[in-house]
Amino acid sequence: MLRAFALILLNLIALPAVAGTLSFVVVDATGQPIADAVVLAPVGSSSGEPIRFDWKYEMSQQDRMFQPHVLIVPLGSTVGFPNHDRFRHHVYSFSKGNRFEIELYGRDESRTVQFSHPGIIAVGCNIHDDMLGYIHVVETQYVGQSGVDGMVEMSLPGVGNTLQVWTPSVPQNYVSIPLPPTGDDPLKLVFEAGFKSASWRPAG
Amino acid sequence: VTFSHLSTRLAVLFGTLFAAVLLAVSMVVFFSVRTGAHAQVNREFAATVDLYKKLWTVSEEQLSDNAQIAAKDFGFRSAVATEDAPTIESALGNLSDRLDLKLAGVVLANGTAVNLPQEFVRATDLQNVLEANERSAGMLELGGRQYLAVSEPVLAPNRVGWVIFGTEIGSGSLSELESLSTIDLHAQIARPNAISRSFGNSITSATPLDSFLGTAMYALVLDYPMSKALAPYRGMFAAIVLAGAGGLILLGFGASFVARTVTSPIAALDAAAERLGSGEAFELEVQSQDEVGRLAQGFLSMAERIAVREADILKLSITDPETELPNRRALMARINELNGQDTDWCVAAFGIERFETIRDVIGQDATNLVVTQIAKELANTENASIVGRLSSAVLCVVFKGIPLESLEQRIRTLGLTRPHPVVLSRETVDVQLTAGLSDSRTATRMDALDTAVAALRQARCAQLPILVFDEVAFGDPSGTLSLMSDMIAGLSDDSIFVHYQPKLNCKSGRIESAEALVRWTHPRLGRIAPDRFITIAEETGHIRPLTEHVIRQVLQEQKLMAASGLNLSIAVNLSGRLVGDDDFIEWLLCTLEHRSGLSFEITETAVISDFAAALRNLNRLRAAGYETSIDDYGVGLSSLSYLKQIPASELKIDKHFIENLEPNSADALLVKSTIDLAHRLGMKVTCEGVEDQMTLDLLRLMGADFIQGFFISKPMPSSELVSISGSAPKSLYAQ
Repeated sequence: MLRAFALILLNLIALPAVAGTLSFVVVDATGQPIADAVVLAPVGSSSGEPIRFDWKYEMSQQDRMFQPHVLIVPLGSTVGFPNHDRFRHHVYSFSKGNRFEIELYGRDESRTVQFSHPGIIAVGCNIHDDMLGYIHVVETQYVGQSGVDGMVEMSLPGVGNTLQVWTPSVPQNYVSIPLPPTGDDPLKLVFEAGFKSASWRPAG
Repeated sequence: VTFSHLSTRLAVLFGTLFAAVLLAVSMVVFFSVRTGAHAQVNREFAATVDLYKKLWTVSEEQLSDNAQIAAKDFGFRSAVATEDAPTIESALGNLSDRLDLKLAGVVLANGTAVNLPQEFVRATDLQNVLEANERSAGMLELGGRQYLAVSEPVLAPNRVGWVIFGTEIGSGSLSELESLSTIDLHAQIARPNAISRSFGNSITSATPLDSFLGTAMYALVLDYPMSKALAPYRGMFAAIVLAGAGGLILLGFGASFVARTVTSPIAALDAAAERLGSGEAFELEVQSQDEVGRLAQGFLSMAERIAVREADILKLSITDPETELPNRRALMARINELNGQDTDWCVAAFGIERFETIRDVIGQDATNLVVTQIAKELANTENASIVGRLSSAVLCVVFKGIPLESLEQRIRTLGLTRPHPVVLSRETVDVQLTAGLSDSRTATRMDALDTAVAALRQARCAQLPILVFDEVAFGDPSGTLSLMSDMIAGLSDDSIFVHYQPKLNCKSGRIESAEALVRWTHPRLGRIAPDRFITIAEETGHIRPLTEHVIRQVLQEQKLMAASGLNLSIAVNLSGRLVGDDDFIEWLLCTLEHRSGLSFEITETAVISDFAAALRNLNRLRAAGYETSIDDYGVGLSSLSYLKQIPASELKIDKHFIENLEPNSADALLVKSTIDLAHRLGMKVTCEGVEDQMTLDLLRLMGADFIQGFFISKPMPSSELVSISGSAPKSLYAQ
């Protein structure tokens, strides 16, 4: 009985982690790689195991820019907003559920905000209109983010059959696409013009 | 177009030219003025459009600046990002008041309209228009009002909506624009369909304006009435019209002046020419020294010369050119004069005998002198009214107030017709005159001069020195021509027919032949003597149809007589004129068709003109078996030379020699020797005109072959001949 329970428990822990990895390029309709694209594999309600990513939950301001431009953090995490510029910033977001405002703070000052709602947070600076950053508050371990070459490497949970993708070009929502067909052929994820939909194509 | 008056022509010509020049000038002025006005108005339009564009740009920039400021406001951004409509509305209201905006609204990223009709946003697909452009600016029509609108995105920091600001550009701003222009133009903002309407009498320009929605096109339409553009030139046009009218009035005066000075002398000349043409008297005053004056002068001298020439012609027309004596026309004029005076008058035609001989001897000029001399003598006669010359050898005197009988007596008494000498300067010519007289009584039906001349001819024929016109002897020559047309008609209606006079053969003592003689009973005039109408027919060329008719008649009747048992050889008379006519002989031979029992008597051998042709034709007849006789031998001009040449088989001695034949008379000697001569030449002899037994016996003794005459038989119709032959002793007629 105990052995059986232990097996089930093992399975429960092990299943999402062992489905495999996926690697592909995100390109736009003209074939140009898209940087800072975000790919999520939704896994439903959490098993309780806390989600952790191996990057800092931090969006610093440097040279009048948010660094990184796009940040993925687990739900409930606290994100730091350190200022590395010589001048002050007034960081804010009006995104639903995660609205915050960090009024003027100076160099090497850091403020933190805890995000308790999943979603996409557009972050701006009231002083510098051209400063823009995005924070994805997610409820899944299985995420990927493209580099400047558009490459994404991510692991898959083994459950579910859709992925959610996002680009800075359409920052309000995610686009759902099915999982790619299994096989060894390299793939690319192509966004249609307008970035409202995407599909898989063989790479090359 | 033709004009009957020179002045009308001049007036119309100058009027037309003037009007054409005036019209051309007016057209040039009008079009250049119009073009100039157009250009000026267009320049003004361009300035106005420039101004409007500047105003537009300034407004647009101002709006855009205000919209940017609003969109950047943190509180405003916060309200838009959180879709806090009441806050947005209050903020917009606040901005409208502060910035005096007529239009201020927000469209949220999800398409929700704030302070704008949601329906309008949906209908115009405004959200997509805004999304497609970073900023929009231009004309926007909303709720029936026209706005210059700009849009500005609201970034917080990503785009959460758009703020739209607008200022109204209705009639107010346009009337401001109108007032800024130096001309009284009318400005409006119109859609293309409105622009395309006709501005017929206006100068119009349409400048496209930006459209906020990018779909509907708008234009700033400026128009300016043509009449206003041309208004400054109205005075000039009026001046041109006045100048034209004044010019036409001047032209009218000018035309009447020209008519007075140029055309009225010409008209007078025209009228004078008209009168000259119809021979009436006219007066023409030469008033000027110009071409017209010289023309009138020339016309007058021409008229004078014409008058002189006319007098000459008149004189010539009534004068004999050789002797300058009055001519026939002058005599006629005098007779007509006397006719009107109710007085007796007579005409005497004096023929100068041997005139040609005299002329040949002494020459034309001297002869003219002789004639003049005789005329002078005649003019000295009492009662002589006028002496004229009718023809070269005939002088004519009209006597007044003397009866014809007395005149004849006086001429005799004076011995005017006796030979007497006419003394010329160097020689003396013996002259004899013959006179023919006529008077008003005979002249009632015929020309008095003609009758006098006819009397003269009659006198000469009668070898008398003086004779009064004998109308009966003269006959009526005017009937000749109608007689011939009557004769042609008679050929087809049996009024011309043939009688036959039998000939006795002295040897056999039988009637074997007869002579066909044509007869004519005129339906109106009764019997006409054959000599008369045959002579006329010969002279007028009608002898051929007459002869053809006779021949056809003879052929027909000869057949009928033969059918009745009377076989006669018929002799038909052929005129000498026809013997020479090849065509006629051809016809004759065709018609005869080799019938026998016909012979031909050639009459009037003297008139054979083409003797060679006549001989040829007579030989043809002979070769065809037809014998020919020489008719009426011994009278006229038949000669021995004919007798020798003409291939005749018979000689007919004329009745003149037979009628009064006495034994041992000269006629008897002539007849006897002629018969002998003919027999020697191998010809038979027929004697015509035998009227008694004694003559018949005498001729038989002389050896005549045939006898013809009333003693044997008078000419008679074929039917009568048939019946006589039936009752006569059987031996007399050939059967």
